[in-house]
Amino acid sequence: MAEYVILFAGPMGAGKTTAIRSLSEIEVVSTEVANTDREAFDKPTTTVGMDYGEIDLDPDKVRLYGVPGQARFDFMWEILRERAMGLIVLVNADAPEPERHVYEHLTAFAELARRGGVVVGVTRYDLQRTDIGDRIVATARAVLPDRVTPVFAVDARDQEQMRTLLLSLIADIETRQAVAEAAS
Amino acid sequence: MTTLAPHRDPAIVSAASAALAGFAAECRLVRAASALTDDGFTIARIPQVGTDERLASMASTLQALTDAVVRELRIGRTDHLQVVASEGAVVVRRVGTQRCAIVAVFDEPPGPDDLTDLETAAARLAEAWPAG
Ligand SMILES: Nc1nc2c(ncn2[C@@H]2O[C@H](COP(=O)(O)OP(=O)(O)OP(=O)(O)O)[C@@H](O)[C@H]2O)c(=O)[nH]1
Ligand SMILES: [Mg+2]
Repeated sequence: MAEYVILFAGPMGAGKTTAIRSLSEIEVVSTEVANTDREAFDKPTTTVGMDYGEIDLDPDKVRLYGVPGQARFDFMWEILRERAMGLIVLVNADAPEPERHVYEHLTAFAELARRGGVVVGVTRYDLQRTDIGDRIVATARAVLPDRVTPVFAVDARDQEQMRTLLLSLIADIETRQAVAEAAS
Repeated sequence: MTTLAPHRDPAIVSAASAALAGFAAECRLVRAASALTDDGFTIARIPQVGTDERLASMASTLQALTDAVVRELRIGRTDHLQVVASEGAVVVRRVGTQRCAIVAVFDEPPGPDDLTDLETAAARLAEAWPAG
């Protein structure tokens, strides 16, 4: 049995809190407060501390942490990325330039992506079907040229889709561990 | 009708400034203080220059994490939170029932009088909060 600590990053409104609520089998610990910056993203609440959830993916136990998307809270990014082993970057397709957010968040968490594993999830694709896939793949390659970074279109509200995303990240982490062990 | 965010509402900003000024006049130990929205925007602060912009976002994080712990342990409602360090202390207190708090940074651990001064400032701001 292995234990994984997975971090959800990405801009405000990408669906980090929603994704952890979809996945978690325990009642999530959340730090949602009223969002006063409706120009940045029009939704009732925003995360100012962290989200925390847990899921058993037999035989593995997975701890899920979400960071606040707003950069004003990047001190929490530092705290949470230390303990993480894998990274899920979520970005909403209806953001003005989704690839710019992918660039910023992959760069901020690049050390974690290289040390552990990383996948990118493009959310709210039903609201804004665009050809951003290529641009996001190219951005991920530019930030992390020496690894393969999978990109998925997912709905953060959908448990099955989020499980698929999470399982592919864990497969990525396990593959890299096995390769590292074989090499040593 | 959309309501103005507290940090952009001139009536709230001036009420917060007055509450902080009163607090600074009464409490000798306070080094800096900010009134902030629950999501970490500065409404007013003292001193007006030199106060770290991140004080408001860090205070909102502390408050939300504290509320999460209080909720998780089912120990009622957060009154205030206090962080005591070797060369100073930080206290965060909610303003009445508003989506707003005051954070104060002290030069040394605050005594009961200092905590009462902060409580008074928060109560004054809650009272002066424009209805709406
Ligand atoms: N239509 C649609 N809505 C989605 C999808 N994924 C997420 N959402 C919605 O988008 C919003 C995402 O909000 P949050 O989960 O609070 O976003 P967050 O990333 O935690 O944001 P911060 O904590 O503010 O950084 C929620 O209202 C979700 O219901 C999707 O694929 N389609
Ligand atoms: Mg969130």
